[in-house]
Amino acid sequence: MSADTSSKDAIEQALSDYMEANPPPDFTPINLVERIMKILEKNQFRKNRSRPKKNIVEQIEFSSWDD
Amino acid sequence: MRIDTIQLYNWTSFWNAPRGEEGSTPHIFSFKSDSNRNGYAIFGENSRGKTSFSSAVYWALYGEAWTIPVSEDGKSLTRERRPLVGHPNEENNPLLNTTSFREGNYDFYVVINFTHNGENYSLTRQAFADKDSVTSDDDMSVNLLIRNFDTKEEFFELEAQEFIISDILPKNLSRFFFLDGESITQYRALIASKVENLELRSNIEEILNFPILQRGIVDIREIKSEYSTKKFQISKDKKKNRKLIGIIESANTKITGLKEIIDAQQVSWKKADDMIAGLESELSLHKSSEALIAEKDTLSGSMPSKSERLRNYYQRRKNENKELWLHFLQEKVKNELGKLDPMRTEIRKNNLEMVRLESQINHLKELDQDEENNVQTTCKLCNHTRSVKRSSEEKAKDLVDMNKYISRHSELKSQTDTELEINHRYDKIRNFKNISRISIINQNSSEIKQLDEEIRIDNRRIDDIESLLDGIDEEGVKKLRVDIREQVEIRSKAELRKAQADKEIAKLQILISESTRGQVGDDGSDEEKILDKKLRLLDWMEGMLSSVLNEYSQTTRIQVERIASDTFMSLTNNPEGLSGLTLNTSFGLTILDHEDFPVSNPTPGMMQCAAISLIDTLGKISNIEFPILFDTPGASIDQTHRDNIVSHYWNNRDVQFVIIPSSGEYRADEVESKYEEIIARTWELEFPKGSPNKTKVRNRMWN
Repeated sequence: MSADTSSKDAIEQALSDYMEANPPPDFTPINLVERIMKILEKNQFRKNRSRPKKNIVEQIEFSSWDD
Repeated sequence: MRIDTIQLYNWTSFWNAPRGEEGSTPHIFSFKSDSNRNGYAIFGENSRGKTSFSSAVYWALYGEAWTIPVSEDGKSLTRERRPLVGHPNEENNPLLNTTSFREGNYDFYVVINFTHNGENYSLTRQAFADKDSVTSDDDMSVNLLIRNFDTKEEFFELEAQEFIISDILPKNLSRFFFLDGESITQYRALIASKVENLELRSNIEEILNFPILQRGIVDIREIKSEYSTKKFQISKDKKKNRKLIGIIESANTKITGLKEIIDAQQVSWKKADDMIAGLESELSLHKSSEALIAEKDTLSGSMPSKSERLRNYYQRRKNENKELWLHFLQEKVKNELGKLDPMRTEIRKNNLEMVRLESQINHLKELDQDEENNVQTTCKLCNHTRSVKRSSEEKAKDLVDMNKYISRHSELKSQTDTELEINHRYDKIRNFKNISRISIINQNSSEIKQLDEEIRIDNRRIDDIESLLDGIDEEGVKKLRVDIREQVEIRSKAELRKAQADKEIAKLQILISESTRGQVGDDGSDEEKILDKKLRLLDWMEGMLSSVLNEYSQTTRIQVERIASDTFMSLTNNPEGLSGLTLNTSFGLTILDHEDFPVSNPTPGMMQCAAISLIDTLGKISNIEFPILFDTPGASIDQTHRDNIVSHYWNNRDVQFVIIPSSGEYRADEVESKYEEIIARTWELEFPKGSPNKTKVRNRMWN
């Protein structure tokens, strides 16, 4: 992490590194992980977690899980 | 978030006239600058509203404003929440301008126009009176509105508050952006403490975006739990479905068996029907013969009974004849009875005498007895009391009498058998006299005659029928009827069995229907497979977030330490004697000397710079873009540090940085001339002559 890197960038980088080393299961719908992370980021300061959880479940449910 | 303008109406010392009147235009702080610089400063004497400016932004965001922290005991700092309204005499730092309060104008508001993520917003929080006359906050209401000028969206009250907290700046992180000398002093004590401060650590972790990972792990875990529950339910439903399917299959098997029974019964029924039709058809050919047979059977059937009755009548007639003969002897019997009457009168007389004799004999025997026992008794015959003692003459006489009585009694008794015979004979003859049965005999003879005739007619009819049925197979015809009855019985049984089977099938079909309704969805196999996939992905995500959190929490502390250390070195007035800062895992801070050893007794100035460095670093590497409002930045530090701080923020940070110095800290003209190249705007707050509590804003823009 360089001196100019924001925490957001640093986390994104760490997530990206992890995903490269440990790819998600091959059946994972396209961009679902990114969409979930976006929800977590947008709601990270919210103490009442019902809305982010609802949004994540919606993303999971609206994705295609067919083979 | 970057502020474009801030409007204050009747806010603390910023007095305004009621709306529509002269002086009602709100006080405007414009942050717009052609130079795109970030340096801002608000100057003014004490009580002109400098600190209130910072409070206005805080109140607009969170609906609360606080007094400057003061130390009453020299150690802990206390602050109080400022009320919306209050009379000047109460001196409770109300938010409504006290002159307006006295004038009866209770409205006040703060409007912030800002840019956030490339879109333009306005945020308005206003307070207004619910009543004509206001005495306390209970008489006031406050509302909040956020308007997005680009999307035309509007958020009110709770929704607007939610937007501020989740999208602009969480309240607990505001301490990194609303700075003041006193809170920095408090903060530096916290970070220098050997004891871990959980609230501070939590704040630091939050500003470093740990929540995306920490809360993300919890969120993912909870969603996983929901999916696991769902999967468990499907598995349970599958078991239930399997059980119900078993019931349905069993019921269907039973129904198949019952249908076979019904089919068999229907075959049997039809066969019986056919046979009945055939037999009835055949029987119809012998309809007249059947009738004759039936008549003959009836006649033959009644013949034994009639014969029996006839036999009885003959027997009775025989008896009656016998009695009749006796009747003819009645006259003779009468004569015999007349002969016997005097004899029976003599018998009655003898009987009476015998009774009298027995009584006298008994009396004399009792006398002998009493005399022997010397008892005085009363004579039963004459009722006189007699002396038990009799004379010898009397005794002799009594003995003679008794012998005489006994002798007579014996004589009479010897005639008894003869008397009995006479009475018996008399009774028998009298019975003969009473019998007269001629009418009965006549009636009996009539019955016999009638029955004889009936039997004769029946026999003649049977003979006729037999001659008519000559050549007809009577047994065959009878068997047809028997066969029909058998077939009818078979058909009835088949009907009954079919009805029972139908009823049973109906019951089973209800069971099948209920079991089908009880089944949950399909067999759940596809859904279960998809749930498995979702759970596996969520597992993977939880693993990813946990791993990244672990790694990030270590690397980010090193990053914070490095940046804070660099900042500290640019702020300190002793760069040669110090090498920087070090942070422990709980973000506890230590200043290092030039040999990297902890400074044992850091000066207040050092600690203030260290705290500012850490706060600035955290703000810098957080993902939050928000103006920094630094009230009294020069508290507890010397002039060099003050200059370094202003220079650092205005030169090195790309966020709006507003310093609000106290009157002794910075002189406006000096700052303006020294930082002319990096200042965007400065404001000077002052009271016009003769108008205390009515701040005027002098606005200067630097290009």
